This record gives sequence, C-alpha cells and structure tokens, in this order.
Amino acid sequence: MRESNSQIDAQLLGFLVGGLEEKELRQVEADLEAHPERRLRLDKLRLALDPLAADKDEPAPPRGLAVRTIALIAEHSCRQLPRAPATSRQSGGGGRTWWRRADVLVAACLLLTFLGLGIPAVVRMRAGAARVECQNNLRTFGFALQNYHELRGHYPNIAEEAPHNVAGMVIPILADAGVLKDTASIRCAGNGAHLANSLTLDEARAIPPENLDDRRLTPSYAFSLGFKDDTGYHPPCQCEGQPANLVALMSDGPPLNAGAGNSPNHRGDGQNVLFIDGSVGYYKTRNVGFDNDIFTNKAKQVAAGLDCLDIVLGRSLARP
Amino acid sequence: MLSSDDLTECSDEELLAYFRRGQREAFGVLLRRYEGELYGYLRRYLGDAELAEDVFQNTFLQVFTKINRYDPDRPVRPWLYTVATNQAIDALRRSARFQAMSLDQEREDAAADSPQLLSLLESRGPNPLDQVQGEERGQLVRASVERLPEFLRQVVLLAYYQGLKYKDIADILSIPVGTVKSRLHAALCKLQESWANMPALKD
Repeated sequence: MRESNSQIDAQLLGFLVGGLEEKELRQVEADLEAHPERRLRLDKLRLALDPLAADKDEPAPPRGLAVRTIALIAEHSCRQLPRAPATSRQSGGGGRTWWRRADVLVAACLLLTFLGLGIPAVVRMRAGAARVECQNNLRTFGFALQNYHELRGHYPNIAEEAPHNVAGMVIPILADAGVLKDTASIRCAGNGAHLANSLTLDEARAIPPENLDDRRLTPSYAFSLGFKDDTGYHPPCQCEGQPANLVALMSDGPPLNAGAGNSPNHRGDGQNVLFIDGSVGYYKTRNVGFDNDIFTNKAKQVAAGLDCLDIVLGRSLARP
Repeated sequence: MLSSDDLTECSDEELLAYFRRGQREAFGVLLRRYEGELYGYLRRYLGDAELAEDVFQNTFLQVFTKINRYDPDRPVRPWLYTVATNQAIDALRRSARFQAMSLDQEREDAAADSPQLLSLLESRGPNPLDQVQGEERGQLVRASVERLPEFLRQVVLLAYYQGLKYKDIADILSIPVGTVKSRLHAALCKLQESWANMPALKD
C-alpha cells in the first residue's frame, strides 16, 4: 500500500526525534537510501524542528529537591504510627510516658526512613563534588607551578625560605610571582569552606618561624619537599627518564601523623595528586607512581627525599 | 544487599527490583537519577516551578507507596513518565488549567485535517524566528509550545524534549502509536503557523 505524504513525514519526524523502534529505524534508513526525494523531505523537516532547539536547555531542579522529596516520603511512611494528641494529657505520669514513646517511635521511623532512602548517598554525592572541586584547585596550582617554572627555570625552592622553609610557603611564593589565580582555594572543599590565599609572601616571612600557622599557609594541601643527595638540596624536579605523569608535585595534605593513612580531606578515602605534567588523579592509596609512599621518604620520615626518585609531599609545616 | 556504589551502576529496572526486595536506598538512587530529567519535564509541562516541585514530589510518593502496582516486565522510565504525567494532569485540573479531553478531541479531528507540513514550510518566506537569537528566541519558542492544545503539547514535550520512543509515549498517554505520530505532525504544523504569524517578528 502506497504511503501518503503525511505518513511519510510522520515517519521521518520519528526518525529525527529518535522516536522509532529499531525495525522502523532500519526501514526509514533503507527508504532514505532508495529515495533521494525523501532525503530532501527529511532536510526540510529538520528545518521545521530546528527552532525548538532554542528552548532545549532543561530547566534545572531547585537545590535540595531530592532531599525534600525523601523527607516527604519519610513523613508519609511514618503516618501510621501512634502520634501524640494535639493537646497534652493532664492525667497520670503513665500516660505521659506512653506519648513520649509514641513520639520517639515516630521520630525514629522518620530518621530511619530518611537515612535508609537517601542520606548516605547525598553525603557521597557531596563528597564527590568536593573531590572534583579539590582537583580543580590542584589544576590551578599546576598551571601556576608551570608558569613559575617557565619564569624561574625551577619549581619553588622552599629551602631558600629558611627559617620559613616549610611546604606551606609554596602558595605565598606562587602568589608573589604573580602566577596564581585568585580562583583557587588554599582549602580543599572536602575539608572546610573555600578560603582564598590570605597571606602574601612578605606577610608570611614576617611571622616568627615558631608562630607559623598551618591554617594560614596552605592548610589543605601538601607540596613536594624536594630531595637531598651528596651534592646538596634540590627543589622538586623531573629526574632523567622519569615519566612526567608519575612525578607528584602537590596533593591533598597527609594526616597529621604522616606515618600512615590517607589524607583527611576526603575522609581518609584517598587523595588527589597533581603531577609535574599538570595532570591530577585521585588515588585510594599513598603509593603513587614509582614511589612507595608519597608522604614519607625511603627512611619513613617526613623530610626531603633521599634521591631524585624519592618524592615526599609534606603538609603545610613540614620541612625538607 | 548491594553497596551504594554498586547501586549507582544498576539499571532503573534493577533498582526497583532491589527496592521491592527491601533495599530502600535503591529508591533514593532512582529518585536522584531522575531528579533533573523529570523535574525538567514537569517544569515545561506545568509552566510553574512551584507546581512542578509539588508534582515531582507527589510522583515519587506515588512510586514509593504504589510500588506493588509496578509491572516488573515494564521499563521503568516510561512508567515514571506515566505517573508524572497523570500527577501533572491532576494538578492542572485542580488549578482549573487543564483543557478537558473532549474539547481536545474535537480539536484533534481538526488537527487530522491540518495542512501538509512541507507545504507550510515552502509557502512561507525565511523563518521569522531567525530574526531573534539567544534567550529571546528560546522564550518565543517556549511560549509558542505552551500555547499548543494540551494533547499536542504533551507529544512535543515527550517526543522532542524528553526523547521518548513513540511506543512509550503511546503507553504513557494511552493512545495508539499512530496517534502519537499524527499529533506530532499536527503540532509542528501549528508551530510553523504560530511562528509565521508572530506579530512581534513582523515589525
């Protein structure tokens, strides 16, 4: 039976909007191949649909819609439980105890339903978002470090800052060189609110060394402590033959006791690491690249590495 | 029982299966998966952010309380759209904004006699909408879609904006697939006429 033009157009529209089933789709493709005039029709129909794309952006849901919906469902599913009356009972203490129990039951039900339905996942979503924001900070630091390297021919040498020779000086050093954008936060989103760099290099140098404050330098992040060998101290660098995507420069800060455990920034789940080539990765272990442990040297100390391949990333007040 | 990370990898159908077996977190994962998509659909359909939020919440409340009515052999996405569309129609009825179906039906007969889409395209000059761009163009298009009769607008939203298959749209709206096709064709004809006659663009 011969198809009418309306039927042909309806089928072609279905093809354009993705409404057809697999079998119909193949048939339309075969028809288009066999009938050049249908290809012309298809082009014209595409033009007819085109204006709709101007309003294609999906309206974004209001913040917290999922959590409010889960709360509503939790409330609804607890309605069957005994509830306290609108007016309080005046008679005996026993009655009051019973109502208190009812209240507790309802509250517990609400809490359990709410927790069961979604809160753990909401927390995880936030943790994921914080991880990404933290990676963006590290990428910004990565750009700044590359620019610094181009300007000075080496990465920041914190040893030169003695007696302020601590890893946390890296951000004031980058800011002083004019290579660090204000958009980066010195605080990881997983470990507190956004905090822009607040100390200039001169301000940091003016603080008595014994009063250096972890929270004011680079509280959330760790920077490479460089390495020492027979020829002396060397700031972070890429050793000969070492792939750039395995040379760690910065990362989420290690735990206070750097001997074990992941960074506290992401609840001990893992840490973001910035490499010398500007790439950033998330690792669930402290063993990254060739290194046995990015937070201690080969002698298990928080200090400069013992050779060029021994990378140590120290938290704000760590010294080479 | 699957971990939450594993649940996020599950298909919609698997999530509802886990939920039916008592793993409530699977429901939360499904809800968040559809938060943007279904809210976006309802926002367009209802044209009101607050109403869209209420209907979104009622949709998932229905899914939660009436999960036993879900046929496990049926794909979840069109079922969610069915529940959401029915909730939206109820909300529009309550706000007296819903065009009665009988009225729509009369118009559908007229729609069946709508002019050929290609004739319409060929008979008019350059697309008047091309005179505007960006946000203004988007607003004009949205307004013209909102002015479509209910039964045509539903199909445009589900087919074009939500990208659902004709068969699923037919299930959601309880109409034959052929009617979905003819309604989309008729809706586009009406939109071409509407765009061609926009007074603001003629000036």
